[in-house]
Amino acid sequence: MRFALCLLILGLLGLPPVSAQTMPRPRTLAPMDHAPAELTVAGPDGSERVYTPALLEELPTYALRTTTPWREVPAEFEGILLTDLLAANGLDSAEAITVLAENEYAVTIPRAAWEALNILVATRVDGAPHSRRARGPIQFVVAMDTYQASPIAREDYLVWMAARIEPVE
Amino acid sequence: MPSRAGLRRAFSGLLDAIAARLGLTLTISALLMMGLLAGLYVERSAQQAEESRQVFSDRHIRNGFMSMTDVQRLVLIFQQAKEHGGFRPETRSDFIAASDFLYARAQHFRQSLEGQVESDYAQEAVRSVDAVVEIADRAATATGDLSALWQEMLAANNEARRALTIFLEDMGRLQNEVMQDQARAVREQRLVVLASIFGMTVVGLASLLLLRREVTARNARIRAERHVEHLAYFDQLTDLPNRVQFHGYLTERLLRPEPVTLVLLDLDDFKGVNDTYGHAAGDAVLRHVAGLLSRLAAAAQGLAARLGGDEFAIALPTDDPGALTRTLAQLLQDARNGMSFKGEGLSIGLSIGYATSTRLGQGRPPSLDKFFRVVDFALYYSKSSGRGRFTEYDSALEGRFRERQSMVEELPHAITGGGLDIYLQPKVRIPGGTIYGFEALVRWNRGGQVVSPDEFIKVAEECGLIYDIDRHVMDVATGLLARFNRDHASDLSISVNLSALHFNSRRIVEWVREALATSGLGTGLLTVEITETAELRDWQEAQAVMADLRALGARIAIDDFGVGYSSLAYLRSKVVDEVKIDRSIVEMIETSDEARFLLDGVLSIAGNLGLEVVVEGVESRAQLEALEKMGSTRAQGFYFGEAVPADQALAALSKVTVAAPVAAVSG
Repeated sequence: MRFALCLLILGLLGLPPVSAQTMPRPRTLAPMDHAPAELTVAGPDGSERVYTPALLEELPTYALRTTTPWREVPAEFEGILLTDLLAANGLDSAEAITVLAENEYAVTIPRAAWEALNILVATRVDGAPHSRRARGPIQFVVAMDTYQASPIAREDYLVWMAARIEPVE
Repeated sequence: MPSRAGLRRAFSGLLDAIAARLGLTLTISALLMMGLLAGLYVERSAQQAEESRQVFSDRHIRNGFMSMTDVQRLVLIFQQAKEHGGFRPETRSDFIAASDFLYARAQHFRQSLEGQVESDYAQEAVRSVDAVVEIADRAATATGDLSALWQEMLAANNEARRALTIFLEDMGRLQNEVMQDQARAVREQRLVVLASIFGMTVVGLASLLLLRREVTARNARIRAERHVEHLAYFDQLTDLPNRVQFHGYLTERLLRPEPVTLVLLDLDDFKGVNDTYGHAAGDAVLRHVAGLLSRLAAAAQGLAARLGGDEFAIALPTDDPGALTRTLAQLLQDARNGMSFKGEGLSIGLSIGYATSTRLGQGRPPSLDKFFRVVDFALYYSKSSGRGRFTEYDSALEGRFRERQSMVEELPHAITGGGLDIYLQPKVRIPGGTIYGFEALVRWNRGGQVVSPDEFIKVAEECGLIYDIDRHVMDVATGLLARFNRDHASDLSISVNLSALHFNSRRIVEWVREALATSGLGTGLLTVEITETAELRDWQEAQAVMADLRALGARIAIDDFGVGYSSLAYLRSKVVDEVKIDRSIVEMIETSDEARFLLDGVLSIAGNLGLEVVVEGVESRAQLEALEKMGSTRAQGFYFGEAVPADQALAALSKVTVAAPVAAVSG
């Protein structure tokens, strides 16, 4: 509602909707010992690929400084982009994906959401390996400003202890 | 129980009150207030439901259940480890992961509760999970016997299950409340909606009723206005346009260049119809005539109107004299054909006057007043010329009429003021030409101009002045002759003309008696001359009057014999002494054998019946000789002397009488 109002006001002012939102910045990460964790990605052909945090970090790495719904103090998250991970597994054209967590949590994310929200698959926080107690070791993070501004962003998409990604049939 | 009419009146009063300015203001205010209250009520109810929905969130319930699951998972792994006498490496890693889940879950749980659920149950549930995590953390690093920790874990597990169950039940209760709130909100909204619908229905019905009343009242008003307009412009009895409308129509027509003919009509003897058959018949006659006129006007694209009483008018857009004559003749005929009233045939006579705008001269149409005035005159003329006819206005006609009118006005003054002069024309014996008497003739000295009786006697007869005139002439003439006879020891006779009208009453007998007594004229010297006219209707009565006059010593003469109504019947009448042969007979006596035979016959018959015959209009010697030859003994005419003022005639005769007294006496 408020967003629509903002859009409306901006539209009325004749200004383009300026995206002053925080974007994950590319950052080269030095190798690091991670907590034992696995993220299995099922491709559209049924093939599966298992990523450890280290394997994930072989994809282009990024950094994002932001709060989350559970962190009042901003933290420096590091990891890879969900879009890169999906592209690497042929899921970039899937309509939606289902993400499952180690504790059997499951959520379906439509493509529109992952294309718009620049979801970071974080493996490190403040230069340290991400821990389970801090909702790691593999956590989906969205810059808080983007998260608040987007009408399609939902807290459900911010999966922690991510364990598996599969396309929605 | 109040009557239906009472209820209706009360309801009407209520609507009136609502429709008044104050009522309307109050009603609108009340409606707005009701709307506002209903809106506030709905809003408050929705807000309540929203508030309880915010307190309740299925997220908390999920967190509660997930916490139970996570605790259960942790306890199961711990139980395996205890049974195996200690953690194996992969079990330990699973255990740590499970405790991490629980830790994260507890943190998540706590955070999601913050600011939303402040209940003790919630705090206790989170604390109980925290307690399990604390034991798990100790167990993860523990070596050796786990039994003590297991006992702790079981107790914490039971406590967490209990606290979470209580929390979940509380949340269930909250959920129930939310649903109840929502249900109540829905109920309340439905109530408000129903009340609003009811209110709107009532308002709508009241509006419709008011509208209907308004429309009904407006229709009634329009009908009343139409009725008033009809009253103002139409005659109620005949439904013809009335005078107002007719004047308006005619005024408008006169502004146009096209000719317009104004026709005014009067019913002849309408009073008689009313008196004889009653007013219902009178009304029926008026309606019948109105029907005739309106059909006529419609056919001619004119307008018929009733001006009032038995006066009607038509305006016709034509100046064709032939068409007008035909139309009006047909109208007279149609009216005369009459109508049937209660089985009685009533013939209706109309008197009509009309004039056409283009024939009134001056090259421009007349004013409405003049138009009416001249047509009124034409109508009056029709009436005074015997009714049942139509007359087109003509200025010459009016001139004559006005002349007659002024005579009627002036004659009385002439009679009393000495404006009437007595002229005398000698009556002579033939052969010899001796004057034995005079015929008294009246002349009107009207402002220095002498008016002959032909011009005013008819008028005087019509307006009743003839009685005064004849009596005046008789008084003066008998007076003059009586004095002359006394002064000159003569016995000249005097003939006085009396209108036939006198013979319808006995009054004349008294007048003659008075004249004879006052003057002292000798017996047999007064001759009363009567011209037979239509007015001498009752011959029996007239004969009786004549007999009375003769008894007074007057003689009776029939004037103008041979023309008009005079007949031989008079000759055998016992009351006639003298017959005066009309001048028209004498005029023809030299040229017409018939005239001679007629005169001869009359002289012969009259002589045999003992009547005296006076031949009038003798103007020549030849006529006199012819008369002498036929044995006529009395004559009168220019040849012997014309009518001159009485004093002149008598003065001239006194010279003759003085000069030849023997002749006069012997004649």
